[in-house]
Formats: sequence, C-alpha cells, structure tokens
Amino acid sequence: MRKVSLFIPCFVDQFFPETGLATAELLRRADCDVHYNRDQTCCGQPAFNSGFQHDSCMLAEKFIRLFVDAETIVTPSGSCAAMVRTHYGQLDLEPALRKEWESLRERTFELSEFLVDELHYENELGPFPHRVAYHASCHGLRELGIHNQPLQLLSSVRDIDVVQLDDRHACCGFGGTFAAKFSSLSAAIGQDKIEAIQRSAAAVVTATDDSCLMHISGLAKRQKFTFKTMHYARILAGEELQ
Amino acid sequence: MSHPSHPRDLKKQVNRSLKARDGGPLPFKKNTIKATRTRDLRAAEWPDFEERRDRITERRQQAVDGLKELHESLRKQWSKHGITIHDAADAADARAIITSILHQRGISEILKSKSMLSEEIEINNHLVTEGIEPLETDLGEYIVQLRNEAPSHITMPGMHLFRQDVGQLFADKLGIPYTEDPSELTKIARKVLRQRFLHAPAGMIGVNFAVAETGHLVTVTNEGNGRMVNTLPPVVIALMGWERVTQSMADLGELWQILARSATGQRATSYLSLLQGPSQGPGGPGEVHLVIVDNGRKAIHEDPEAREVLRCIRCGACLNACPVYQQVGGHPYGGTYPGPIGSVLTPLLNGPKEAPHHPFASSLCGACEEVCPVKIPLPKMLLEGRKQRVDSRGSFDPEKPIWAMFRWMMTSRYGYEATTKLARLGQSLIPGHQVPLPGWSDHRDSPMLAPKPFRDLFDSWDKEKA
Repeated sequence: MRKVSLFIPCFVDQFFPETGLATAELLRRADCDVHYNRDQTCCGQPAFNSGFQHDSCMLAEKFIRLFVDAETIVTPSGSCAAMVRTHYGQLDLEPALRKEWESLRERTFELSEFLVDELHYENELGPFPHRVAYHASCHGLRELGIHNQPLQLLSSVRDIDVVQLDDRHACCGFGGTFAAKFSSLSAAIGQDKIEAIQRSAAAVVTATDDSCLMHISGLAKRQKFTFKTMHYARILAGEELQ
Repeated sequence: MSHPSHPRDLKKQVNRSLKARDGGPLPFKKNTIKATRTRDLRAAEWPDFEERRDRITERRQQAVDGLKELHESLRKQWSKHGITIHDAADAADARAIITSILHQRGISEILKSKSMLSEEIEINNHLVTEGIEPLETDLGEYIVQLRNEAPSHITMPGMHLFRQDVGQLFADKLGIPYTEDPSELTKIARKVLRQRFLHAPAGMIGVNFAVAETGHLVTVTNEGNGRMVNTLPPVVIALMGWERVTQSMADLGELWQILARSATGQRATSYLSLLQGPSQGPGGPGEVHLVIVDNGRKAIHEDPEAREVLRCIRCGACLNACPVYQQVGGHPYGGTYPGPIGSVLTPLLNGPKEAPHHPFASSLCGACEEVCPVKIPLPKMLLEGRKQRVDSRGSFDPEKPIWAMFRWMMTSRYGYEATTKLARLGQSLIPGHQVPLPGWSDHRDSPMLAPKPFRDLFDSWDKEKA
C-alpha cells in the first residue's frame, strides 16, 4: 500500500473541494493510504509569477518543511506540481531546504501522472455518459510533459464520449495574475477557447487544472454558454453532472 | 520606419488594439497560426529534429560563451580580406558611424536589405534628417516603409496586413490600378526597386551570422534583394549585432536549415549570401564596412541569468506560437522586437523601467520555448524579468503590501482559515454572491467559494471510508 500525502492547492481547497475529494477517492480505490495535513496552504506560485520571489520563497520553504517526511505527494494540479518540481529551483531557498527539495521534487506528482505512470491504474472508471472535451493545461503539458495520462484515464470511463478541441494545445489565456493584469487580453485568448469548446458540442470541458477551468467557466457563464467545467478527477470518480 | 509607440506603453497599446477590433478577421492571427502549422510540419519531417535542436543549441551556447575569442579570430579574417571594421557602443554611435561613411563619400541614398538591427538603431529616420534617403528592398519592409510603419514581426514585417491592404497601398502610393494578386504586387515592387538597384551608390545589409572560421558575413533572404544590395553598389555597409557569430561553415549549414524551418517553414531559404570582403575584380563592392553593434549586448553577456538569450537567431517562431502575439500582433509591443523574445529582450536592452509591462504580458503557457530552435528558456526568463521589474520599483511599490499580506495569510494555517472564513461571510452578504474582483469581473463571472472547504470535508470522508 502506497502512502500518499495529498497536496490540495489553496484555490481547490476553497473553490473546488469536490476535486480534492475525488482525488482522495481515486487514490483510495488505487489502494493508497491517503493522508492530508491541514497545515498546508499555498505553494507560493501567485507571488512567484508576480515577481515577488522573496514572498514566494518563504511559502516554498514552508511547503518543503511540511512535506519533508512525505513518501509521495500527489496534487490535482499540473501548475502547482510544476511550481514545486521546477520553479522552486529558481528560488533562493535555504541550503538545507534546497537539499530536501532536490529529493522532494522527485516524489511530487500530478494526479494523472501518479495513477498512470507510477501505479499503472487500469480499472474501469466513471460512469459519465456525456460528451467531454479535454483541455490540455499548459503547465501540465509543457512543464511536466503530461500528454496522454489524463486522456488514457478518461478513456477508461464507462459511457464517456471524449472529443478533441480545435487547436487543442492552445492556451486558454488564464495565466494566474495575468488574467487580472491583462484582463481583456486574457479574455480575448479565452474567447477562442470557449468558442472551440462550443464547436465541439461537448457538454463538459475538463482539464488537469481547476484554475484554467475557473477562467473558462467565468467567461462562458458571462456569455450564457451552456457547457459545464469539471476537473477530470471528478469525472473519473463518477461524480454526476450537475 | 517610425516606431508606433514606446515600449513603456505596451499595456495601453494592447488594450487599444483589442478595443479597435470590429469583429473582422485578424491578419496576424491567421498568419501566425498558418506559420506555426507549417513550422510543425517541417520539424516533423526530421525524425531526429530534437537531437538536432539539442546539438544546435549546444553549439550556439558555445559560440555565445566564446564570443570574445571568436571575435578575435574574426577580426584577423576581416582585416585580411579588406573589410573596414567599426565598433558601435550604442545606437547613437552606430548612426553616427553610418552617416559619416555616407557623408564622406557624398552619398545621398542607400538601399537596404532587411535588418532588424537597423530598426533597433532607428537608422532610417536619422538618415532622412541627415539628407540621405533610405530605401527598403525586402518586399515586406518596402510595404511597411511605404506605410510609414515599423515592421510588426521579425521575419515577416507585414504580418499585420492582408493582401488587400497592400493592393490599396500600392494603388495609393505608386499610382497603379488596384490589384490584390500577390504575384502581380510582387512584380510591381520588383519593377520599382530594380531601377534603383542599378544606380545605387550604397547598400546596407543585416548580418545573420559571421563565420569565425572564414570571416564570411552571411545574409539569409528569400527575394534576391539581399544579393543585389551586397553586390551592385560600390559601397556596402554591413550591420551586425555583436552576438551574431557562428564557429564554422558546418555550424552555419545547421543554423541556416533550422532558421528557415522555424521562421517560414521552408526547407531552405531561396538565397544564402556570403560576403567575405571588397571585390578583387570587376563587379562587387569596392568597399565593405562592417558596423558591429553592442547596444547592451555585452552587458547581457556578463549576466549569467540573461546570457542564454544571445543564442537567439531571430527566426520569429516564438512570435507565431504566442497566444498574446496572435491576438494583438507586433505593434503594441513598441520598440524593435515583439512577442516573447521581445518581452525578454526589450527590458534587458533598455532597462526594466523602460519596458515595465513586457515580462508580465504573457500567460506563461510555454508555447514559445517549445518552438524555439535554440531552446531559449523564454518563460523562465520572463519570470526573471518580472523579478527584475519588481526589484527596480524599490520600496514604494503599491503591489508590495498586497504580496506581504498574501504571504502572511498563507504562512500559517490559522491566518489562512480565518481569512477564508471572513471571505465566505462577505460572499454570503453580496446579492447573487458575485464578488466583484478587480480585473477578473470585467469579462468573467466570479468563482464561488464552496460552502465548506476541502479541509473541513476530508476528515468525515476519511472516517466514512475507513
């Protein structure tokens, strides 16, 4: 039995607890011993991406201290996993913590990477009798190289119909604080994405990151588009479409 | 020709460009997406594309690391072949050198083949004020010169135009009947320019690469104009960025191919012109002047965090792949270099205060790094640029307390839980529970805090499953 420490990113904790629960549920079904430490907050990415590396570094150090004894860290976010695995290296970490990070990063996984690459999970999932479009979130795709893992898992969902989006590797335009700093630009990029989703006739769009989905859903709702957004973990766990 | 705006105004110009949309098709979106698709096809043709890219990147980095030594050997070659060498510390220096060469010889017109460096030193406007007429001979550059605009793209200067725009421009400026047939338009431009080539007293070329082994100055073009500019006029001025050095002819071969594939999706460009020095016999230039421009490059070379950007071979693939560039094109960036490479390079060359928004004008999607033939870590460099910009603002930064507060809130579970509880209360008091979020709510509905966070649900889930 693998002992897994959940890292539930702050905005998932607050806005999308269902994604966290679905993650825990999937790991339990994959015979993992699931732990969650309530002392966790944020990985520090928002400050880092805004250029405030000092503030970010303190949160990174807190994260490393908190997870230092974790055997395996799993998170339902490609972006936060990439922050821990890659960008912590760009911060001015205390030498002792940097050393810890070098091994900790090897034990940190995005959920689909862990299920597919580490556990070789192949059981039937779902059911989810709907047409679903998969958006490949950029940080998972390009920083972690997550190409097929979520699609492979989605293909094991009973009754699902997975469709491809036009320009499927195009960014949705979220970009963290970019969405607020360059709001109109972010929305213009997102417009192309929601129109591609609409064209695909999908009832639901899914992704590795609730942050992208939050932006996509915000744009779509404002314009009365009817498709829904759901993290793929919820689809795999068999949650019903609301 | 003239820069449309200052790099400082990037944000304003982006918003202006988005506001000016009329729902019609956007030329830069159509052209960039097409260019990226062709680039991907050409990359896929090489089964060993990634290995080549790694090898080229490594060689390019070695060249950048060894620039000082390579320049020493180049100087020997250049002197041996009779090239007159001029070192320009900055743009003003380069402008002064060029005008003095032309003035001394009583030259009042100069034909140019494409050079982004000539845009960087803003030579055209300067020449005009000095009574010298510059004429662009690359078709795209000729078009933007006729429109009195700056190029909007590194390799495709008229990326922001449809052929109908060019048809109208030629009808207006050249007094010919309107046509939008690209081959007709090219023929017309060729006819106008050819007359000028035959009598041009001077030519200016951009140097894509200088080959250290032989001293050749290499110009990569598609239209043959570069070949005419560096052979027909008696005086040729070659303009070269200090970093544009490659080790050997073998390296040039590799670079040329990957440049063509990345830039235009061609297997090779139509022309590869090599100039070793003034002509020894009939034909060819009697004088070749090489102006080597620093303008901030040597400082970048000294900075270990920034040096990698000097690998850039100016293909423009990162512009084409960039979702931001696809939306607004090149002009809102101001300055010379748009797109991701511009967002990294402009603050490095001009200082973070002169391009304060550039590093932030990115969703950090990473599409740029994915297509870069020399693997410049552009997203990482944009993040470094953000840090530099924040540092340049000093302690009177209105954003500073926000992030200090954020850090405080996230440092302990208690601060985090108390703040989020308060936010939940706030959300419940707002009608419709739509909390207005600055920036966010202009275009999007706000996300709703869940009735209970995950942390309050985990324990009961855990007990239930046990």
